[in-house]
Amino acid sequence: MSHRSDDLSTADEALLLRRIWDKPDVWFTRNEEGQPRLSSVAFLDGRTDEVSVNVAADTTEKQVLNGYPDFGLVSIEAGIPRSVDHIVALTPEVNDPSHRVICPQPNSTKGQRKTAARVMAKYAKWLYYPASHRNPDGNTLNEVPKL
Amino acid sequence: MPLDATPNIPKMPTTQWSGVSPIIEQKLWSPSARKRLKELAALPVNWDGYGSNSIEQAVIEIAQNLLSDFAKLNMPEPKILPVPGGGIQLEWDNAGVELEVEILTDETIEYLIVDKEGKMHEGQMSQYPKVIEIAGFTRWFTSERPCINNLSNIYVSPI
Repeated sequence: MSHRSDDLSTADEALLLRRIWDKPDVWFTRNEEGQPRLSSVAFLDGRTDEVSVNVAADTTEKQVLNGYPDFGLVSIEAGIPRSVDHIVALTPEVNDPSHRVICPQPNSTKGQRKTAARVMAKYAKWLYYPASHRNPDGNTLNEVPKL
Repeated sequence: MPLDATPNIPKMPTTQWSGVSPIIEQKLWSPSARKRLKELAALPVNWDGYGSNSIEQAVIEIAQNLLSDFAKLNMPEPKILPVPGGGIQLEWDNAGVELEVEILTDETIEYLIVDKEGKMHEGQMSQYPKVIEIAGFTRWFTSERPCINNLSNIYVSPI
């Protein structure tokens, strides 16, 4: 059971950033529009049930991707995990004021964790595709590469 | 030899069978699935960029057994994904009908099914699921109109 509490200073509309791993290239399927759809594993952690994110307003996309140039980047509104019985919690143990974790409510049962991850993956928006899905011309940090 | 004598039939040694693998089991174990599991087993710590453990050997073995059982029941080969924390997830998608089976690092197995209308249901499988339990998922996934309202085939264990 989580010991954390919801960070109410992070509004529901606040964008949370999450790096998306590129290798192997299996975290994606194609949706009806041909865009890569994230697997729910992007918002799961089977050991801790805590998923790291960064508040976009307190950092930059370049900083979040620093050291991970092949990774993709998605954003999700803080209200989305809250709508599926999760919280957006501060992490005082991490030396980064933008860092939060998405995790289940402290008193919730385990029975909705996969559904929640699926919902979060569905509503996450691509900011940068992982390297294996990038257009050769669209590889700069300030544009969304097209497929 | 008298007709009522007991013939001296030499006993076949058993050791010659110990190394035999039935051909059908070899065919069910897809080379690409085997290769994928080998790749996942080799993932280093922090493969996900968020400090994840590498994939645990016990999880790999459970995945092997599940893949073999699903293959015996003619399920198509799933996507085989690493899960942050050290688990593995198997995913099937058939025109909007989805099945996810996640093996966690504590060796429990959780599932999520999504029907064509997007309705979801999740639960926990037995730690050592019998073929009959896996057959329930296979029947649901391959049925003509898989629907969350019709889960009678599926063994449902509350989490």
